[in-house]
Amino acid sequence: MERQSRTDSVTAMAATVRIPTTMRPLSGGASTVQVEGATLGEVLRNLEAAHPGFGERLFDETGALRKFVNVFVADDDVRYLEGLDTPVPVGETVSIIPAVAGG
Amino acid sequence: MNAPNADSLLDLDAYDQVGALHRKMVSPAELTAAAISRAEAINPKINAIIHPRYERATQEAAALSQGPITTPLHGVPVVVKDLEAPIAGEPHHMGSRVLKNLGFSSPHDSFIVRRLKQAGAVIIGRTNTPEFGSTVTTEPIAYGASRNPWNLEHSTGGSSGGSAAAVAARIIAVGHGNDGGGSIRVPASECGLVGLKPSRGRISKGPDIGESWMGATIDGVMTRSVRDTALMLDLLSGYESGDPYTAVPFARPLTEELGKPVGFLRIGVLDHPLMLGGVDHSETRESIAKTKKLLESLGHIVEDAYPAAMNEEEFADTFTGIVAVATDAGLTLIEQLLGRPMTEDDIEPDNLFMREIGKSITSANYVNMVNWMHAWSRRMLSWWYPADGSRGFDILMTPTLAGPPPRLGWLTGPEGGINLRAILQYTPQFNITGQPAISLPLHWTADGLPMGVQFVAGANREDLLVRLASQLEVARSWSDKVAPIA
Repeated sequence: MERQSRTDSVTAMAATVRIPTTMRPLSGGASTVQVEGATLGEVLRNLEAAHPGFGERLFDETGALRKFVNVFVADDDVRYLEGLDTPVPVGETVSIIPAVAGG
Repeated sequence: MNAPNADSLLDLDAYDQVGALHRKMVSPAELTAAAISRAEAINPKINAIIHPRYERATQEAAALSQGPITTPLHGVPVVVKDLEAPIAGEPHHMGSRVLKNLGFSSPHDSFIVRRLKQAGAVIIGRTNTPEFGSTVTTEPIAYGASRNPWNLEHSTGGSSGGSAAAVAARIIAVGHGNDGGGSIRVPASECGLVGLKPSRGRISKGPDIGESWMGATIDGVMTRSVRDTALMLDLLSGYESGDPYTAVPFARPLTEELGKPVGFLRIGVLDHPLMLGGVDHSETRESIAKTKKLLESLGHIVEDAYPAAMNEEEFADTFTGIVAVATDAGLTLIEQLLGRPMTEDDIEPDNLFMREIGKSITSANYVNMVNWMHAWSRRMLSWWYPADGSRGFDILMTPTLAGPPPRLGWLTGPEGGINLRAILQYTPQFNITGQPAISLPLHWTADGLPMGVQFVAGANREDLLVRLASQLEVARSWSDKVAPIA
């Protein structure tokens, strides 16, 4: 049961953001959301605009990505790219990868 | 034959220690005194035992020495992890600063401690654990880092890292642990030990706990020999009154499986991470490649194959969600004890983050997560037991951890939870399915650090794991591998 975000009208220009299970309460249960943006920062800020609550989970008080959250653009870890300035090509997949627990 | 020096018996496994004790070549008091003496010499370097109970252990061993031999272990010294498995009236701090400051203890023995005592084990201390056991390194703020006896700058693994370090350092032969996502297998891997995570419901968590982490956690031991693991699981397994579920009992004692023919097993091999961001390390691939050759040389049918459900990215976050809800629930109970809310001065950052996640998950979300896990478990088990009745696989072989033991600090720094995701690729799956899985010390890196290989059997098949493990122990013995600190 997946619901599309209200940014559907711009799907052709958008990236697909994969939402982890633990953040799906924020996306109305959707496992993916279509969001516009030329850089990762723009994509994630637009995600917050479409689904308020993501910003708090993704960014620290300085606006940087929280240390407990990692993001991949396609298969690449943005910590080793340009962080929030990493370009996001149209149609690319952005994966939000939060810290895990397990011992 | 000359009487052995009690200290030299600590280099043997528990099985041989039992032999010496039962033949009265050494007394429980002498063996316990030797273990305490080693602990006093070595523990300051590795910080494995955080609650020594040397005086009580000495008294208990003296009592055993004076009586007839009535118990199977009759004075074998052991350690117990300071997470669950409480001992009446003794510290039970779970790696938490708050519980340490409260002087928290249980009024009664846990069932597993009762079984250890009834079997004649002498507990010389409780061992270090990360806060609430929620990661795979043992570096709690409350008690400081345990250090790996193979290299003091590296992690022991966790969360049963204190016990693993004590066994690797040869202070004792048997260390208790528990495993909710890899916490017996990972420290066994990082300390060069045998670590079998039993089936769900094999060993009781009572009387205080029915299940934790949705039934993911289970108690067990870490040992240097396969037979010690078999011996201890025989003694610790079995239903206790009120357990919510119980594993299918062994057909015969696991000690009777040792050295028995294992046949030619169908073994699937996975040698690389499947989840986004997983570490793909050359030493890990090498550990699997050489074990694959060994299995083939023993006549097993080895294929590059694994359950398709291992590819499902949903698993890691769903597992974390379940742990996060449990973390929030546990912290709420501690707050009731404290009489005030806990703050960032009370809880380590990674567990605070887990609480934040836990609070965001509604009860309906949680039930959906549990249901997802149950359906996923059926997809997983269909690889061992195909629905069409065709022959499934007997064993899945994977690395225990995606990489060698990390340096201290790597899993506790600001990005610890992200780094954990990168290496904890292969173990939590079997906490959720409830299958037995064992880590065997079959590889050492070029730098001399141990790395385990994991074998996973079908439901309730510890017997098969013990047969295979004892075959591999003979084929590629690790008994000559001794940690430099020992």
